[in-house]
Amino acid sequence: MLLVVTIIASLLLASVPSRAASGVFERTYIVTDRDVYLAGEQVGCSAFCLDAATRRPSTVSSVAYLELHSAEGLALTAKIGLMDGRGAGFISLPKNLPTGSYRLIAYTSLNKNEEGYDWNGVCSKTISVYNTRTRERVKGGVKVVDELNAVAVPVVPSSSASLQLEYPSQAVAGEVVPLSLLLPEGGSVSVSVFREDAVPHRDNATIEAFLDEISGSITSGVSGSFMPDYDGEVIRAHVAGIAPDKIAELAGHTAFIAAPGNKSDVYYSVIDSLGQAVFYTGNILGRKELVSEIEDIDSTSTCHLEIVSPFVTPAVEAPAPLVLHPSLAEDLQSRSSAMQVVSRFASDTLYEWLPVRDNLLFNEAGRITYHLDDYTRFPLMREVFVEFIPEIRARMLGGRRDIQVRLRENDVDSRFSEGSSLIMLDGVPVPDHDKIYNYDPLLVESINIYPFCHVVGPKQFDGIVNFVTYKRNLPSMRFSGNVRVIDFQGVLYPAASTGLEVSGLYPDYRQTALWHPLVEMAPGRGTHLEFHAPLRPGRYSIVVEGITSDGRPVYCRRQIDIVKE
Amino acid sequence: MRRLLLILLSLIPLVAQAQDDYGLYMQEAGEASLLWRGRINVGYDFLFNGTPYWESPDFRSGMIRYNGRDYFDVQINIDAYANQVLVRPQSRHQAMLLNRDEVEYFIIGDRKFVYPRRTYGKAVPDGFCEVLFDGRAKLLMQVTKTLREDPEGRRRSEAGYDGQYHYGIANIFIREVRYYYVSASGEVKQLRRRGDILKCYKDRKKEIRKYVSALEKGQYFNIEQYALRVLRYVEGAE
Repeated sequence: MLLVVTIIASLLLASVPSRAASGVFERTYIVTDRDVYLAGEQVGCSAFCLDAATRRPSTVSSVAYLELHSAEGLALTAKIGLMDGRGAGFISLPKNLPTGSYRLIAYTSLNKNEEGYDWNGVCSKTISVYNTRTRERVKGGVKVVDELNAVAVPVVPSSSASLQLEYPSQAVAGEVVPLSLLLPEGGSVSVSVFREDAVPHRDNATIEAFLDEISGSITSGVSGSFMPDYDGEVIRAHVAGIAPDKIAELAGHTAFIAAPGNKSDVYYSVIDSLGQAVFYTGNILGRKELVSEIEDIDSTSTCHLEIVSPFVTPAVEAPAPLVLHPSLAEDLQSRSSAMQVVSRFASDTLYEWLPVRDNLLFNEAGRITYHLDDYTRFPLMREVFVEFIPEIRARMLGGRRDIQVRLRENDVDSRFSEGSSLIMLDGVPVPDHDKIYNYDPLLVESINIYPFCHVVGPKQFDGIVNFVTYKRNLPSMRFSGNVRVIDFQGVLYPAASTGLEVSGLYPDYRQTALWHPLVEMAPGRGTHLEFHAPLRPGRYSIVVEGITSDGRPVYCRRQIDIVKE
Repeated sequence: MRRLLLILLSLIPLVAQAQDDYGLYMQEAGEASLLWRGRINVGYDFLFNGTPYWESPDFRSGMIRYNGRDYFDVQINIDAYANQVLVRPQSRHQAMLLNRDEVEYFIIGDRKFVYPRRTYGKAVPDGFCEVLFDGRAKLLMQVTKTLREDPEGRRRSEAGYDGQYHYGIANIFIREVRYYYVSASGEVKQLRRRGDILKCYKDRKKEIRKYVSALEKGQYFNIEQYALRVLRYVEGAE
């Protein structure tokens, strides 16, 4: 009897929310546009997040976490937003990144639950980074050799016999070069065209090896309680700046995080008795300054939220050291000059932005917008409300200023909300409506009114008003003592680079002539790409890597010569 | 000891119910999931006969692909008057209005619904359609409701709703059904009569008409039944 009770009690003790054996084991493979970079360049990444059991794109996680490690430890981190197992982005290598070998690992939140997960296995690859501006080197990450064996560029026959790639064997520098791809069974691939030189490549496994190994990489044990980033990144935060015995008093308070801009990146959560808050986002794009505030506490309090880093930073094997030889100097110098030209002139113009998911708080149908430049400018916000915005009024409610929205229900204007509207400045909630009431209207470009009832996480609002300034960065807004502005790393913007946008505007010395990370091919339908041939003549490699819709690898490497006119 | 054992035994079903990844996420996120983020549906605050919904006010469990994510076991209904799809969380009596530009499709039972303007643009009217046939060509059915005043109850039969009818209430939602044929190349054509579907296959008209007539045999196929038979024959599904 005692044994039976013990067994049952053990079962219950182990009953934290757990994943069934039918849960997905994800493996994330990153294709990069090249594997040799200079510090200061961009690494083009294309993510394939697959179900290890079926070898098909996983439909669970919406974020892949990337970490770049050297022999000295973690160098930088990044996040890629995933849609049906695919995602992309450019990682900027800092200009002061030391010369050396780096291991790029990728994982999802589900991988954090796996016992014995191999961080050095199939989901990692090695890249070389040369810093041509300083002598900084990764300790143990560089090997200077007396003799450098010439490394032949591997010409890999297509692993997918069905991939049909049409390209010219030769192109003239400065002209537009066409590429056509066809996969009869359909699939998703990345395409890269980059210049070859004497700088040695890394010996990374291809997607074929990745697919061969992932089924065997499924770990036996699952523990931990990291839930998947299904809708988007799940951001965890905890209360700080308060005595530990006071934390429980904050249980039940709501807190929000919001990224300034004219989008609706605002998320609410309820703080639990341990002082923790979880925000279920739809992926925040780019590097943002998040405004966070715990509501309904003393405005002079220093109590605030701190965001928990989602990165694991595991102990990763140091990659094989990078090889240095004086014969590489000329090519590296040439690359460095090219990189500086691109950095100086390119900015955002090189990129073709790819589709992203919206976060859908605002349904733009039914929005009422007032562009204040279309009206007489008044010096006070209260005059703006009175003179030409009938949908808003300000009243005193319980001794506090309350900006109220006239709701529209069934296409008919009905009541004014009372004490329940969401007032925002550049997408950031302003709970103290007095601040908006006294705000300088000359800083405001437009007022967007959503006269409907909305739900944002645990909170319901009767009407939303978003005051959008010209600068989109909350100018002249004075925050309470408990508001924090946090530097937040969101997911990378997915983008392709073809050079077509800048042809003729400045010398095109790009090392990567074409990078398209998300080429989706319907069965039997070809895809046509074009890129601008850089002005540096030479031999360029065309690499197509991806997966067919029935889970088979696609890998193809060809060469094209770009010649002077 | 026995009491303790009974208590522990009764808790086992809860423990043993492990969850898949989606279920775990939706349980933890609850109403914070992005499916429930956005505008609340306030319904209609006037008395009416008929129903503004596709078939009935009852929400049905289904699956919806919204904003690139799949959501399962969701209570779904279609407001055919406002041309909106509504979802309702279990913890609320209020339904949420989804952004229909982000609704790819939803499935209730074995019935699939789409927002065709996402794919075909303004060639199709606004609103949701049920996919009656999904092959190389498609047959779509759209149900819309229009609000009319009918104090004398003459249009009662047009409501298309079996629920209780209240005399003395003037407002009534009238049901209108339209059918659309979408060719393999994406051309959209409204089917107003049975012959319209045959015009889409002019070179095989005679053969198709003969085949369907043989099937009819004393009964009469309406537009929907006729078009379905034609498409199944043309695409080799029959």
